[in-house]
This record gives sequence, structure tokens and C-alpha cells, in this order.
Amino acid sequence: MNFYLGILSYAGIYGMLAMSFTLVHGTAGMFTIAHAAFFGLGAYASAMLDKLLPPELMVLGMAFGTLFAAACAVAVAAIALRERGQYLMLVTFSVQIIFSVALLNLAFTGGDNGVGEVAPLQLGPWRVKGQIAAVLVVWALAGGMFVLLRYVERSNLGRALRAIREDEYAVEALGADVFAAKLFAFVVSAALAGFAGAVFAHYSSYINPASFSFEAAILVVTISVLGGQYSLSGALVGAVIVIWLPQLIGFIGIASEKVAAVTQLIYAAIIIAVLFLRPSGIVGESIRRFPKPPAASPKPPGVS
Amino acid sequence: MTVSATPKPPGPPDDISLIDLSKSFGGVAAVRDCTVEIAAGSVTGIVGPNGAGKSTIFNLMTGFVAPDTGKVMFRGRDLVGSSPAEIFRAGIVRSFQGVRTLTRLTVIENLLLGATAATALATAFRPHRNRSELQAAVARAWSVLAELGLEAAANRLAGDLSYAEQKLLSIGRLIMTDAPVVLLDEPLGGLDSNTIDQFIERVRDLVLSHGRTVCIVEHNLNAVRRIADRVVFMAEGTVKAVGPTAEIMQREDLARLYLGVVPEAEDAA
Repeated sequence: MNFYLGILSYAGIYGMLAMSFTLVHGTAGMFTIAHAAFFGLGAYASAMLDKLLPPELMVLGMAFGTLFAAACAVAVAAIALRERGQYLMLVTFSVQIIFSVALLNLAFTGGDNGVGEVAPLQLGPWRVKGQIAAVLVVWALAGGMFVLLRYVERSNLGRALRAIREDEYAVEALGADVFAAKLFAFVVSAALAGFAGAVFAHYSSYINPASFSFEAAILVVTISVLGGQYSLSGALVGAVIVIWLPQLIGFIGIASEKVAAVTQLIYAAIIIAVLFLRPSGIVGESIRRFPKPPAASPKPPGVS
Repeated sequence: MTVSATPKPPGPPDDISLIDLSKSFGGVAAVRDCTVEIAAGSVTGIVGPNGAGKSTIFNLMTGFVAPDTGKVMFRGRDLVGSSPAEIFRAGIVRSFQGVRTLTRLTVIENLLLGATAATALATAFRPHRNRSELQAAVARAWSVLAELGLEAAANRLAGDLSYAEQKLLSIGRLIMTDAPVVLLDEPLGGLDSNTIDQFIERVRDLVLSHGRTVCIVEHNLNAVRRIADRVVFMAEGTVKAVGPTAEIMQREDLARLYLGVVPEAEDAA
């Protein structure tokens, strides 16, 4: 097993997760801390349904994982988006904690053993064999998600979401349905996190609650903040760096049982340092320019 | 003119009637039994001392605050109970006190929102409509930028503009909306006299060229005198007087209510 290819695959998966977080947090300005939970909902739903499906229909299981995460997000949003402000963070924090505890204790999800022997990635009849193929598939999916989210970001809705991030009352006065727009961002973001989770489950072939814990939620925030919380490409850059980090720490000779704790410390240090020194992260927000239309545009009445 | 074929109802359609509006906050009456007619195509100034309930009236008209009792009638419909977005679609747009610039969007993006925010969600799944609406909005935004003298700053972050420019930008955003009724909440606060002149011109444009109905809450009475056709004078949450601007501005009893003294210099002017 080539070590770097493995890291690259995981970076692609966490890159997808971080990009989904960029939509809800970077673009729409809603701070949610439950992304590891939606990631986990997608992973578990897909992995468990997979046991009932023939391998050719794996995409159905993954689609189910995606929709399941979205459905749960609708339920969370129904509670969390009724009030504005910090309420969302508190509710999603609770959801994350409840989800982690439930995963550890529910028998049908395998408790802390999780779910093993998840079938490896397969797209229709084509089984993804070998690490290079896996890297390519994961990054192709990440690329697809990038294109999709890039479209949303640059659309009129994306602009409205960025405006909601700045001042939602001002945007509401301009006719935007702020609740619906935030609901859209939250649910689509959770669905994409669930999709990343489904890919994660099949790529890893084994999932357990540790991957979807509160620490994992912090991991998402770390990736996003370091790479650039307002940038989709920043999410990918951040994922590559942060996923590589624990291995780097292993290399510098820290005892393996301490790596996890040291990694958490380093994540915290990264978040604080970036927010102080360069709040926009490695890749800043890409601002679309609107040049003056070349043809003499018809003047509206009243222009002198 | 046919009646049934036009989208707007017949009669004096765009007048706004506030009928017996009342709103209390924690037992304190912010607005009490306010009844005001705002004529379409006019500029109405709402003046009065701090705490008179002027801004509350705007909040009640735009759905940001629900009245305890009363109606806001516009185009044959009571707007009470509608959300701010619904009231925008009905044709009423407002500004807020202060600038409320979307600082991390560019200047032109601030303008584009005026034209595209209301349909943003509906066009998200229709790339073609999204694109055509955007193109039309960009073309209009550039002409509004020219009107405001902000062309050079079009693609700069709005937060980098001066305060006065941000104030102008907020008017530009309202122009972009095409809403027939525009409510301005203390738009002149913190501006120097040059900018105020420019601003008053823009507001005049809004009414004369763009054919809007404007309602303006403002403490700068000189400016109100220059802009408004009619003045609604409020104090302690109630309407004390309504009438033509010149008439209301001359009444000593109202001046006393406003300032506690008779401003002799203003009388002479």
C-alpha cells in the first residue's frame, strides 16, 4: 500500500467534506459544528444499506446515504433555523455530541466496533481496483463537487448567501427569502457531507465512531480555516495539508500513542494562528469581477 | 386604459394607507393608533423627535415588526402578517439607519443584489434564467454606477468606500430593486452638505424619473423641506399633524414639540 496515495485519497474525501462546509459556513456564514455527524450519517447509511444491495447497485446505497444526511439536516434545521444568530451553533453542537454518543452505544450500528467489511468502491459494474484508480475516482468526485459548488457560489443565490453572511436583514429587505436560502445552504451542505461520508465508508471498508466524533468536527473546521474558509479550492488545499499532518507528526519521532493528542493541539494552534495572522486562510475568497458590458447598454429612463 | 388587462388594480392603486397602527414594546407604546395616507408618486417626510415612533412605522410597514393592531393597506391588500420578503415582492423596499453596506461584497455586487436577491432561490436551478437576469442586472448596475459616480469603484469591495459613498450605494441598491415604494430611514445622517445635495438629487430622480413613491424619515429638516411634498409629524408614538411641507414646517406648536423651543432663525429663513 503506497502511503502517499492513501493520504491523497483521504485528502480528496476530506476535501469534499470541507467544501461542503465552505458552502454553509464560508458562503452563507452559518457556523455549524455538526459536519462530522452528517459525514457519519452518510457513511453509516451507505455502509449498512450496502450489506443488502448487490455491489453493482452501490451507487444507490451512496445516494441513500446522501439523502439520509439531507433528511436529518432538514430535521435539525427545523429546530435550529427558527431563531437567528448563535442558536444554530448550539443546536448543531448538541446534535454532534448526541450523534457521537448514540453511535458508540447503539447495537445496530455496531457500537464502538462500527461497521466492517464495507464493499470497496464500485461504480456500476466497474470495481475500483488499485490505489491509483481510487485516488483518481476520489479526486474526480471531488472535482465534480467543486464544479457544482462553484456554480452555486457564482450564481445569484451564491451572491445572496454571501450577502446574508454579511447582513441578513439588509438582504431580507431586498426581497430574499432568507430562511429558505439558509435552509438550502444547510441541507445541501449536509447532503454533500453525507456523500463524502459514503465515499469514505467504501474507501476505508471499515468505519467506526471515532471518525465521526467531535474531534472529527474540529478537523473539518481546521481544514477549512487553514485552507481558506471562504474558498472551495482552499478547502482542498487545507485537506491535503491537514490530512498529511498526523503522519508528519509521526515522522518527527513522537510516540505513536501520543500522536492523536499532539495532533489535536496542533489543530487548535493552527486555528488560532490562522485567525490571528491571516483570517482568510491560505486561499482567500475569490471575488467575481463584473466588467462593464462592451455594447452601449440601453440606458434606463432617468439617466442624465 | 383598460382595467382588467393591466396587472395593477384600478383606482389610485399605489397609495399606502396605514390604519390605526399600534405597537407596544414591553408595555411602552412605540406607536399608537397611527392613521396615515401616503399618496402614490409623492415624497412624504416623517419627522418628529427621537422616540416618536418613526422607525417603528417603517418596521411595521415592511414586516420586520408585527403591529399589535391595525392595517397596512397597499394595492387592495393588507400587508400585516406578511414577511419582509413578501412585502418586498408586493412593491415596498426600505433602507435602514446607518449604511448597512455588504462590506465584503463588491460595489457592483451590492447593486446586483437589489435586482436579483428576491429571485435568487428560484433561479438557482435554472441556469439560463439565472444568467439572463444577471446580464440584465449587470447592464443596469453599470448605468446606476454612472448615475452615482461610482463607476471607478465598481469591482472594489464596498467596505473600502467612504461613508458618503456607501450611503449613495445604499440608494443605488434601492434604485436597482424597481420597487414602486421606497422607504428611507434617516438617509442623511452623518453626511456633509455637498453629499446631502447629491443625495437629494438622487431622491428627486427616484420620484421624477423612476416614478416612485418615497417616504423618508429624517432629522435634517432643511433637507425634508427641500425633498418632501407632504410631512407627517409624529411625537410620542402618535401622528400630531399631517399636511403640505411648508404648512407643517411653519407651525410653532410642532416646533416646540420637536425642540422644546421656537427656532427663530428657522422661522426667518
